[in-house]
Amino acid sequence: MISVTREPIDTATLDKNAVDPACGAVLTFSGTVRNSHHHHLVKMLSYEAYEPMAQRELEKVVAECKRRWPDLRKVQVVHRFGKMDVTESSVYITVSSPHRGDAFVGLRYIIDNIKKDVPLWKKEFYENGESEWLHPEDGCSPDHLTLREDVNV
Amino acid sequence: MSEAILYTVKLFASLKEHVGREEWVYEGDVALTAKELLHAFFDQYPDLGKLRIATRIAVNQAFCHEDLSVNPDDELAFIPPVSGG
Repeated sequence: MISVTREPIDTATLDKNAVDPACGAVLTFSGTVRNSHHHHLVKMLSYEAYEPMAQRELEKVVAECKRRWPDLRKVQVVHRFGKMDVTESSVYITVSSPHRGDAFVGLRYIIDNIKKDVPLWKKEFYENGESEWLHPEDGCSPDHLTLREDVNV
Repeated sequence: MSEAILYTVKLFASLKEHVGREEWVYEGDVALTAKELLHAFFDQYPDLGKLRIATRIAVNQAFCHEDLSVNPDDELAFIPPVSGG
């Protein structure tokens, strides 16, 4: 399951499907709406998605992860968009592997690359009534127009 | 005399909010590269400031090389720095 959706994430089903008899390491990561950002109190978030491209980029990230760590047996990623309250899960990842080492690095690779290349944008709404789109420049690839791996695809 | 070339580019997040529309249309006489199209947009909206150097362009839902010549029939989108996760 790799998807970009407006619906709340069904984490119970993802947890269940992550289990594999051959896997001694099943990692789950829940990216969760936090109540603060740079001293602002966050009331809620809204994510915008370029939905078809986000789906494609998410699939590319997972494919590259499996290429780098071929022992990973199962990878699931669901990223939600639309409005979310504090404590809700915006992204949920599971990685299942026979041993823990590959699972930890693979999971880290996936969340880090989601933050670089998957076209989703977060708007924070603060308790003081202000709001702001987040465009972290450090989340963007340094060679901003050209991604070497895209050119080679 | 050649016909005008029209590019329609999808906008997201603060780009969309700043322009006030979901798409930006560029009309010109000659075909542009991805980089030239980006420059044309940010020349028109200088208040977008720092996003100028950090925004990428996607052609047919994939990031592209900046020297790619863009076709008016392509699906085009400006991708400001992303903030998913």
